[in-house]
Amino acid sequence: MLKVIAEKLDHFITEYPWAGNAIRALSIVIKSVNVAGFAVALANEAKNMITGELAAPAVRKIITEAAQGIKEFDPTLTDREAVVLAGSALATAGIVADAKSVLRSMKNILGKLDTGGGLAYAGMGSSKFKLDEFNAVQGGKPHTFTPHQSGGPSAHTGTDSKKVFKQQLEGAIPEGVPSNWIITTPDKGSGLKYVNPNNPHEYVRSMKGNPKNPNIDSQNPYIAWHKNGKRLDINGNTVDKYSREAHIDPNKFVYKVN
Amino acid sequence: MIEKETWIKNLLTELKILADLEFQKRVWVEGKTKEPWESWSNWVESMCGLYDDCFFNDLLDKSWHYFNLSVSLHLKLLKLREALNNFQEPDDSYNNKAIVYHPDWYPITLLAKDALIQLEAEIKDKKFDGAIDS
Repeated sequence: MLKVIAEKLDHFITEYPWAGNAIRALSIVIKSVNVAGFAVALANEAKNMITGELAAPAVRKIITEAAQGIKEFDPTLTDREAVVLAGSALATAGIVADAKSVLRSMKNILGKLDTGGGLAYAGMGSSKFKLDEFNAVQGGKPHTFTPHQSGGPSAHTGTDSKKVFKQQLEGAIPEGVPSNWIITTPDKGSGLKYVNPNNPHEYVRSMKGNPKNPNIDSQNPYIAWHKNGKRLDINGNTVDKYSREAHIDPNKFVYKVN
Repeated sequence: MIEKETWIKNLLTELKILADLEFQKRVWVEGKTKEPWESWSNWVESMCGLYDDCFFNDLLDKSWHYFNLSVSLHLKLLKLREALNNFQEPDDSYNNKAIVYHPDWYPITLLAKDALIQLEAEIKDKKFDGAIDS
């Protein structure tokens, strides 16, 4: 099995030399991690290696390769499940261009799968996916990270745990969001959006913030909770959109029916 | 269900920000805020605010009749949306400086200003139900 993966990765490196470090790092990780750890490790090690015009095709390639690798680990997974797992891990890790690009690429791949194109030929397409599709391949648990989660990248790469945690948190699924909510990206802008399928006017946006922003308040990750056109604070009270209360600490946010 | 007043008020808020290039330079790029709320403003928030919080596409494609938007205002908002959709932001969408000084951005602020003036006039003429504090 490892030989098959190694051959695929060799081909990948030939096509995308910049991914070499990422793939080499995987050879260390690959022995001990679970499938989720595999995908997250791939995401983290590939970080900062995908830039510029290569981003979109490279991200699709990464997701497809990761999905194929994941299926090698667990052949019972469908192509769609493998893509959702790989893409979600990439997006959740908040790397590889940005989460929006990753999800856009994942949607393209899923759309292609919907047409029967097969994983190997996944390309352009369009579809949304549900959070429970992702949870299904995660053992039914919401996908959240801790700094030293078993199988997570920090245990293997030696990267500063706080830094890794912060990166992961930027795209982590907000606590308590129901499994049937739809994951998508904002129509324009950045972040991840989790939409109530029974009320499209209720959603939770997970924003990574901008460490380079001249305003300190805008530098850290935050959660934006919306319902019926109004912004809510951590307790579900209506607040001004541009207020501190409207920017909820991801570590403290727990979604509850309001 | 979003109340009409809430929807229009959200739109007004975002148009004011998008139309004001000097504000963007001062707050988004230089980080010089005058009011506490300004420190939460940036390009990403404005885009999310317009497209997601205002359900911009729904408004322009489905609900504009219900909201009593004039044909003129509708056309101006359509032009703004087209320009925004065509605007290629940098890979790092939090790079406010690259956005604000992008050659295609200034014309967008003008389109936003054009739409804002019209919207404020229609609010003043009480074209929309309910009171909107502009």
